[in-house]
Amino acid sequence: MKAMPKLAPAAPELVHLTITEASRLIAARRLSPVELVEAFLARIAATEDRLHAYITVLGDEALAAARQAEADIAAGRYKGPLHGIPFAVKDNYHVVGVRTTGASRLMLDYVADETATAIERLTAAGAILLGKLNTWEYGTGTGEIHDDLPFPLARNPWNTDRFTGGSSTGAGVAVAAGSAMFALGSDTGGSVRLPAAAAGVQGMKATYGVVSRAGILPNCWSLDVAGPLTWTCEDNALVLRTIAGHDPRDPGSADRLVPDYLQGIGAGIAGMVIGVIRDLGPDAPSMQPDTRANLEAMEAVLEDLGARLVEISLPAPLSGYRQIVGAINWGESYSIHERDFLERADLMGKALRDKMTAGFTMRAVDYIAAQRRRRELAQSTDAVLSACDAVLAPCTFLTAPTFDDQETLTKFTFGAATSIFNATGHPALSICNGFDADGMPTSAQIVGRWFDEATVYRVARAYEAATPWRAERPVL
Amino acid sequence: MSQTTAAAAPSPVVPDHPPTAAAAAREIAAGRLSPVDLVEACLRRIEAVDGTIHSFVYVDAERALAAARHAEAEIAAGRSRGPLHGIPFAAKDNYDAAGLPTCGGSRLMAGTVADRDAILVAAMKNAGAILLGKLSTWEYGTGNGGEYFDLPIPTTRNPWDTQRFAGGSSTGAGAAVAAGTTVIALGSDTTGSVRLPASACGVVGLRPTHGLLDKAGMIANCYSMDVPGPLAWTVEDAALVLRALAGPSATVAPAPTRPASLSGLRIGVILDPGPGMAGPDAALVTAFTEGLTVLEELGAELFEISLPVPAAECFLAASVIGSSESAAIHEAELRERPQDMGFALRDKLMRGAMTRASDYLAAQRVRRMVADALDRTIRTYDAVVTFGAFHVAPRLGVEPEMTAFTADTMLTPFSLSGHPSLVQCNGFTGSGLPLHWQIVGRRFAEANILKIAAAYEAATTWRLRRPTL
Repeated sequence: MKAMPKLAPAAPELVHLTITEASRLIAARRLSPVELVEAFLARIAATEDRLHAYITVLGDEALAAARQAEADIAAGRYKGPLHGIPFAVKDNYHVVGVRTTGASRLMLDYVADETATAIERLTAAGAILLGKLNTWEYGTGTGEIHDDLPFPLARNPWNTDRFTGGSSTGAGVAVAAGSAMFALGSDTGGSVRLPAAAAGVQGMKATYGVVSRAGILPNCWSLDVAGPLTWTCEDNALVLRTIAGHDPRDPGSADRLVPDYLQGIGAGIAGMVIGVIRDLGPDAPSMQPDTRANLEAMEAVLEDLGARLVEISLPAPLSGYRQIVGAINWGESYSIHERDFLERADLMGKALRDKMTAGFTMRAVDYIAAQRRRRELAQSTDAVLSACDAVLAPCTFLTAPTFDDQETLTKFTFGAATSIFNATGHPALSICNGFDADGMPTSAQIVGRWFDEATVYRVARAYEAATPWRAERPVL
Repeated sequence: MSQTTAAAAPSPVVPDHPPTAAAAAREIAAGRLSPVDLVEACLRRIEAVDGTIHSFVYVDAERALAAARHAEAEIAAGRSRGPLHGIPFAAKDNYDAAGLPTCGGSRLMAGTVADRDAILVAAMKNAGAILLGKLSTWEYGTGNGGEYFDLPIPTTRNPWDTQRFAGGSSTGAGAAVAAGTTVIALGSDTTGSVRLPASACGVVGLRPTHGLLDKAGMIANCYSMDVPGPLAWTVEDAALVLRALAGPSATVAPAPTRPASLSGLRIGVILDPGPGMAGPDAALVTAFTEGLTVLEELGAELFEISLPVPAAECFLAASVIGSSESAAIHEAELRERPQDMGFALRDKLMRGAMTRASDYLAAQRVRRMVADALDRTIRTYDAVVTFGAFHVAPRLGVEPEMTAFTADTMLTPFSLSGHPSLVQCNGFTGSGLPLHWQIVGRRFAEANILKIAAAYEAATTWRLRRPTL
């Protein structure tokens, strides 16, 4: 890790601005990108010993970029709402000349020779990269904590004895704690939405193919989706709008126009039909009472806002989706890491090694059967979802557990309702919908039709504006 | 048997064989030929020779004649549906046709009767074509090239030499077109199953771009490589059928008539399969070289290019993908009724059932690399000409020539990459066995390869020769 520059004490009022607020100030030249980046670096310096959100901080580079942004803006070359906005990325995104570790001992010395397309698009829009964020090894885990990776565990800013959600462990933390204004994670079975849920921020897994994965370490080609974590829905739409769009460098990239998600985001939801998924089948985890209460209250808010709620049920139980995602992930992930597993398995953490063992013994017919079942379920699920404008679904069934409770940790991660939409490819946003009795954030998912992120944001934004949850930040 | 159909002036007419679809269409349009005569001619031809070559597994004479009478009445009433109206066709027995058995050459499906047409059979019928029946196939389209004489249907024989193999897996399709038991055949091609029978039997076999044609109502062999396609005596006929199959929404160019010139076309030529695979027979090389001269005389510019990945590696990747996907499709049958399978299918499914997911995925990764590399090459030309199979039709049951015919080919690279490819007769050996080559195009640019093949066909005399049975 780079030495931290000496800075003035943290300025929480700056680090807790939303992107929208900060960019208004920057555009009006009432806030300098240098001042903003310095505030974030100071915040990182002040909180990292407790949070461990970062694996690599790029302090000097960020300050240089901030000075350039300041000069550009002063010279009238303002690039738009992300100009001068500091962000960080999960350490499975490549940046030329910077180490990418994937939190693995297998990659501690790896220096990237390419930059992820998503980062290129953000920096072209003027955003400033602060550093690389903590993650589970190659994005892998079932929730169990083995504490056997080369970096310390990231900790939840709402309560540092609690889990952060994975696999983008540092991403939710950094956004909630104000050590990055926004973050990019990646989501194979929930790895953007679960850290967002644990840290009370908004995390988007867009439709499969909307965001380029070029320059990101793969976990599972056919399920991986890169996506933003932000404090507000509007910020999320702003970031997604910038990183979305066809990229020939990613063979799974969808070749279609990206709508302006901000257009009409504030139009409200009166008259919308919102499907509600309450029952995820007999083998779904039992829901923590506060989580259930907040989900029910959220339904009431959506109704008050004028939406018509209709209960819908999915064509398969949660476990049906999870098995598919598991089998596909084991097979593809093993295909990616086969050589490392055969030659250097001793350097892998337990979670990754376990998954490799499962992948190693898996037959082709089982992988193909999972892909066939996935296609069937994607279509039958779409038939249910597309009858609604958007859908409200559970996210995690409980709030972030403490690190010492393996059973609950697994329930939080492996039991979550997130993998459904990796299997089907639908866009799903994890949104904070309140707090439990211990002050830990609760969450839900807002799901849309394929490629209809705009409606997801519109629903999320209406809910967010009607509720007080964005006013609370963790106290560190 | 007697020839009852009137012959069109410019079309090659050989006694006992039905005319081509295009020639028949002209005669029908002129009121000189009736669909009933045409269907009767095919039925007589079936009766005369199919006891020897076994191209059909099921002939539906009654319904075919009824459809022919209906077509005759429609045409007489001025309601022509176009050039395929009244033209007889037959489908490989992995296509469903309402009211007919679909057995896929397998004991596992004995007694199965389809209740609706496969999309492509329906498309042919909508165009007015008349289904004669179902054509022989290897079990579920599966074979390693060997002939084990263990299927519930007799082995198809090559009409040019009945001691020789007709090419698989659309075994009946090539033989039927060459022997004239049908005018048009529909086959399906996973790693060569349209193009190999076309090669062995000296007819035109077209494997269109992956994804162009709808496979609903066909028995799957391998989801990610299966492509249905027509076999016909001439390029023009294949083009007419492709247009009917692709449907009105697809942008398929009109059937080429007889382009006199290929000037301005840039054609890549691939000669070398790369290491690990036996190259083409001398007779195929000679015919290929002479064919290139014809293309040059027609005005095409030729460029020698190389295959980016050795054909042997493509074959290996295709084998892993094919056996794995097949095993995923037929896993329950393998567990419950392996004794009802022929050796070739059982052998493939056992390999597939024991293939690891990581090996399947590795093969799919190789495939993507091959497809991207080939596409970069092919995109810079109007078409590519190369070999198809590296041998002529082998003697039935004689190894290793049988398996070598199916294994040593330039066909699998394009199965992996999904580019359209066409096999066409380009001469004969001294003993009268057909030779062939392969023309490959850019994705969805079937028009280019049809144009080149049609020009070559018009400039040569190979279509004047028919097998004598």
